[in-house]
Amino acid sequence: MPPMSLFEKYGGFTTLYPLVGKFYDAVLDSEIVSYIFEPISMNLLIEHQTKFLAAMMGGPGEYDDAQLKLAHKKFKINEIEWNEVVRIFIDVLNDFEVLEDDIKVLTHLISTKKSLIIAG
Amino acid sequence: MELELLNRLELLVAICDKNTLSPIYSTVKFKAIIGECSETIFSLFEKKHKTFSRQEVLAVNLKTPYSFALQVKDGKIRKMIKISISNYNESQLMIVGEDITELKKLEYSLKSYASIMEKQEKSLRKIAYTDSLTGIANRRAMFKRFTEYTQDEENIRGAICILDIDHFKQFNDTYGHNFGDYALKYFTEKVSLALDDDCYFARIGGEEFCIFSYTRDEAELNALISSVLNVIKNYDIHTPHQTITRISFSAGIAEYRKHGTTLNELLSNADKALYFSKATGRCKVISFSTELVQKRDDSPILNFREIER
Repeated sequence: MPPMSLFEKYGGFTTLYPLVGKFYDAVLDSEIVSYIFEPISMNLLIEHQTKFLAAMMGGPGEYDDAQLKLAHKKFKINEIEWNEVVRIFIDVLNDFEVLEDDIKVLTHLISTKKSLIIAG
Repeated sequence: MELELLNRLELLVAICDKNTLSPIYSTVKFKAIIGECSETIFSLFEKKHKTFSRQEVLAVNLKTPYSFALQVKDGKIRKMIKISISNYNESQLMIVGEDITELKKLEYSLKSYASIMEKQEKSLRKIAYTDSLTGIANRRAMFKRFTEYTQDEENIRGAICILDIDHFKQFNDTYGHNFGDYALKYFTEKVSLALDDDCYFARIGGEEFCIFSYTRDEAELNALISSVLNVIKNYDIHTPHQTITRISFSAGIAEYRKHGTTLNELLSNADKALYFSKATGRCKVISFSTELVQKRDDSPILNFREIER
């Protein structure tokens, strides 16, 4: 049997959607990155965040790298903004009592997408 | 006093004059999140909710309120408020706002998750019914298609053909398995191009393929497959040894109902015809018949599966 993914370990969609909800509020509340998310409708933003976080936690669905790059290109995201979103992500995971080792794994997974998201 | 109670609830409530829209009462939360009840908020409704209609609002009554969702800011927080406008009395309108932000978040997230699951299911289904090397249907898909088609009692015509690439083992033995795979893909591509929409094409074994024609009888399918063979056998294929080789196939055909009603029966009879095709020189298309079986019984030649392929 394949090892349980972090997505399954933390309760699948039951945990994912409140996590998305928190993440959504937190990025809109951030002085540094809210301007990026502000123009995006709630519907679209939640949709993307659900897909992205589900995939990042080893859940169902694959996030297409080319799409990810294209979607972020226009925002010209810099290092500071990237770090801010990662910080928010870690804060939210802590809120949900995700274990420290698992947060490290998830942060590493997210960091593998860094080159696709920040302007290079 | 009663109205003061409303300030303690999560609901946003306001009452205004139906004709002038001037405010009569607004809760603190209503004022803070939506604004002072007046012409301004009706303009806000129009701006944020494209189909907002003042005429419809004026026609509301208590039983059928006019409702829509509105995205507003509460400080820095983005909120989704469900607005319901109804009659408070004959000359006054009552506007009630309900915070549905969390509900909407769940709805959108669930919708997104459902679409991921749907996509995943589609892709698993595709993998289950596709031959990974050639990208066409596999044996499982052929059985599924045949069952679906024959379940409809109106579908009484049809024929199937088994195609087996001649001397395929030599492709692998002489030029290696990569070239063998290349030959299979090449063959699939050329046959697919030569077939029409009436045909369902699948790889059902190593170098064995099956074509199911929905409307042709065995003679018509024989004519089609013979023409495909004539085209295929003349293509030059460049080998890794810098030489040119060619590909041909042998085929056996069986007709739906005439030679069997299940795919297993049809495949078995088409296989018998294929046997004759292989045993009598290959590179030919033969239709199944009872005479054919008689002929085999009279002068047994090598078992088809023992013929070098």
